[in-house]
Amino acid sequence: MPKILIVDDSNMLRDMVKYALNEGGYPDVVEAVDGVDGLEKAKSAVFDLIVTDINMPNMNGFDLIVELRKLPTYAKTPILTLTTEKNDDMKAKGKAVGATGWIVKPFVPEQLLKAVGIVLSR
Amino acid sequence: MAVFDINKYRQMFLEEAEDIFETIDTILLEAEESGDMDNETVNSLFRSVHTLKGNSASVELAMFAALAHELEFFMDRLRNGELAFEESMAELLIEGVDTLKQILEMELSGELEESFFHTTKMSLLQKIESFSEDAQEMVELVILEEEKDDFGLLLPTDDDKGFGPISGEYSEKPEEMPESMEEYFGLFDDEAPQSELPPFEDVFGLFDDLEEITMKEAKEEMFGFFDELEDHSISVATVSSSAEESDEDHFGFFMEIAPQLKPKASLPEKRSEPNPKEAHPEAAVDESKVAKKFKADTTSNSIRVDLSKIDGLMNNIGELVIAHSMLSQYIYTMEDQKTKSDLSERLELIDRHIRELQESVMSVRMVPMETVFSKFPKVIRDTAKKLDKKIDFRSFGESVEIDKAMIEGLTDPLMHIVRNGLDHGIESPERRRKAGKPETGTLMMSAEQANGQMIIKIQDDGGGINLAKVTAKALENGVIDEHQAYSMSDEEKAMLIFAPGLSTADAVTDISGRGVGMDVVMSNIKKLGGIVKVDTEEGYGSTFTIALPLTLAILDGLNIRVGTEQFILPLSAIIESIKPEEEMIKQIGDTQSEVLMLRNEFIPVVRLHTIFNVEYEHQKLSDGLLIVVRSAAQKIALFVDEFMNQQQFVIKPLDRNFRNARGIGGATVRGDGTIGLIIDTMNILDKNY
Amino acid sequence: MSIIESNQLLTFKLGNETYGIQISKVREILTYPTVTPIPDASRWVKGVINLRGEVAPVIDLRVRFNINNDPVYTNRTIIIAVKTQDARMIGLVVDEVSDMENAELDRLYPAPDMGTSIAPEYLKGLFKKEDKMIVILDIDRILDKEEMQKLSRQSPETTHVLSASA
Repeated sequence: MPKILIVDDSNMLRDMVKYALNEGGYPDVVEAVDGVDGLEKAKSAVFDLIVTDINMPNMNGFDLIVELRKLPTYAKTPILTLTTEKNDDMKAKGKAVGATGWIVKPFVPEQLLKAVGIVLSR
Repeated sequence: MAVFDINKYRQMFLEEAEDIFETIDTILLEAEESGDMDNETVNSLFRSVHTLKGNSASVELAMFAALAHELEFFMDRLRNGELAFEESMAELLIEGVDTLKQILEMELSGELEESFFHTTKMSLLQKIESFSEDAQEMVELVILEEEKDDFGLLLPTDDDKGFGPISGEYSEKPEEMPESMEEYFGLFDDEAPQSELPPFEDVFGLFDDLEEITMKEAKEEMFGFFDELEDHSISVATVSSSAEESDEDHFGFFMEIAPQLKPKASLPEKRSEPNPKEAHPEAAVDESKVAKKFKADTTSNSIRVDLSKIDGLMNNIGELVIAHSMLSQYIYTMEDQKTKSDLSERLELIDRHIRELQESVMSVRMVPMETVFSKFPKVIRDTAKKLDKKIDFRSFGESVEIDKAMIEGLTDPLMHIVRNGLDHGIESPERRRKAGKPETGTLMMSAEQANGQMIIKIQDDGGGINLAKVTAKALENGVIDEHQAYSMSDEEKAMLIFAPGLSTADAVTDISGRGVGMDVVMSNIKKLGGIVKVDTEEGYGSTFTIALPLTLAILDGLNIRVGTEQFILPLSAIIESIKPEEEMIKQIGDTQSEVLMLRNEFIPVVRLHTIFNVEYEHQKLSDGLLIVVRSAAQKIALFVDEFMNQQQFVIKPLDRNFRNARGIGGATVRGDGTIGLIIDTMNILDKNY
Repeated sequence: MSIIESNQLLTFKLGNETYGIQISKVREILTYPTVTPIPDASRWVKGVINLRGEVAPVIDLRVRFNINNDPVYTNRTIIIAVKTQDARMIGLVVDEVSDMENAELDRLYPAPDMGTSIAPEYLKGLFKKEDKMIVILDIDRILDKEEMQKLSRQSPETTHVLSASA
């Protein structure tokens, strides 16, 4: 049963992702409200997948990924970025920090689940 | 297949949007006042609008998102230095955000017509345009922007024609549709319903698959984010992520698309994440540093809790209190003194813990008055503008805490009093000058806790209430008769504004509303268990004072007996109690009403048995007890037969239809299971019994 | 008209007549306890009692509908505690509780304009059982908001001069 961490400062977005994941057969979902909270939660458990927003206060998504990749537990863990723009900027940065993949919002549950399925199976 | 409950998420979006709007308002008001905006502020503003845009798209608020997109773009240009902040921009931004709020409301209620939206958007764009030097460029951008709108939103629809454009422009200029739109749109083909959603490849990707972006490999170095420079080329400031990193690898990072960058095609795309970090090669990026750089949104140390959960906790504590009192009562009846005192001792311990628990839970419900005050600067600014008046708003006691459950019921009456003060209280700059007052009027709002109550004051230095006018109107409406009009004190006349139907505005302005008036304010405050009064001095101003109970739920009270019935008197209302001597009782006036003379003060006596229509034991006041109680500034002495014990009571709601019962403010469950009625001193004072 | 959920009735007597309430609305049956009177309440409102931790008004149906304007309260007087559609707990004073009856609620006779002590607007209808006639009360109507406003003799419309001094 994969344990998934969702990091986003929007209550609404977190709920949407959690809902989609729950419906898709992933009941074990933990929420964090920003990069700092996300890092803390990541350290206190072992997650199989991390989905993170980029634009957050206290510590943004890219910085979070940098920190995560430093931890041996999360060096190879699939990490998905939730992004509003699909552009080369985003792609470059994502690749640079070592994220696994991206998903553009707004998304529908089906697409999120497909993306999750893909990265979890690699 | 799972589908999002759009209405539920729209509600969540609305809540979050309200918070974001408040933050934005505060920033913009400051910018307007100071005439400037620093980089960090611009970034913060950008991020807020960006979030609004992104989240609204997720709940299919297409038009709102499109408008937010425009504002975001404008702020982006401020952020990347392309546009320099000018004083007048603040006003434009405020207008833009106000429009955004309006559009949100309309779109949520389904009232937003495309044509209205289009006009609104174009008008806003046109104003933004005026800040740009290169008007031509802007026009081109505008065209591009309009199209960008159309494909910015990846929304599946139930429409089996597949995606349609979200805004109207699209259909007007079909030949200008950029190719890339097809990435996001399905076919307009009835026979291909499965392509309603944007193709998966456009929504998801793996970074490893990216080959076309050339990068200088830099192992685990972290690349910073890049900022656009004026010449539209992209460079990257890099920051080493760990102390071990000795290479000071600052390299420019040129993407293949760099040469293609022209204002037209790329500006919308050059949306980079804000880069607040400076290039410090050796600096270890530790969390505290990162945290400091951003304007702390204290979200990481707090959680949002549904108020009903806290209500549940309060109920549980309430039950504990009742159970405690039952046990206490039982112990009282024990015969064995030793057991009795042992048990009492231990029970006292429990009592203490219950109180602490109660205080803790109550403090969870308490939020600083700041949450109430913060709504006012914007409203006051807008209203002052509308009325062409100058107003300075000051608030005190932001950190004083109030029960969250009260905030909702409090905001409306406060808003109304403020609007009234702005409309009728504070004079125009001209009139003020003539009166020798400073042109700018002052409105002060303050909060403090005193005597177990929350006291909120709204004071203005305007013209005060025209007592003659109010009295005349009250007379006209039949609220008072000639005799009363003649014998009323100024204080009483001022309070007439709270009588129903009294609106002395000759022309009803839409500021204070159509005679919705002060009577609604008073009843709303009463619903919260409080009272409101007004003091005024013609020519100098008025002060509204609201007194609210600090807690809604648990009360320290005194059990008193009148005849065979018992009632509960809130401890907070009691000033003192005495067994009067005969000489202390006087009778005054035509009606020979009884007063207590206490230290040179005449305090009217109220016989509780008269109010409650119950039998009583003592006739002579000197045989019973007088309890002096107070409500706001007035005192009365309640005549009772005896007082019993003091204890904590859980206030239980009394059927609303009993609210008019004389002198009763609430009920409680006693230790023996019966219901005890709680005396409402304010009510007794109010109604002049 | 509210949806009739179950067919079981609790029947009781008010004076000489038998009345019934749907069992689903009944929460408790208790003997007349210590009732705390409320000042200024209407004649038929005896006061309030503690019903499962809630402060519930006690309404004497006999007085309310003029079946007995001066009843006696003994330890055999019964209170039927009901919960209205909008979740309010209210105690109804009755003379005695009779049996539970099964009523076919689709076979009710409409209440006649005259003949029953309680006006037809407060009734769901009449049910004929063997040789008995059970008058079924529409509790939600009897206890609806408007009716409840009559609880207090002091109605909210009375205006008082709002005076600043006692």
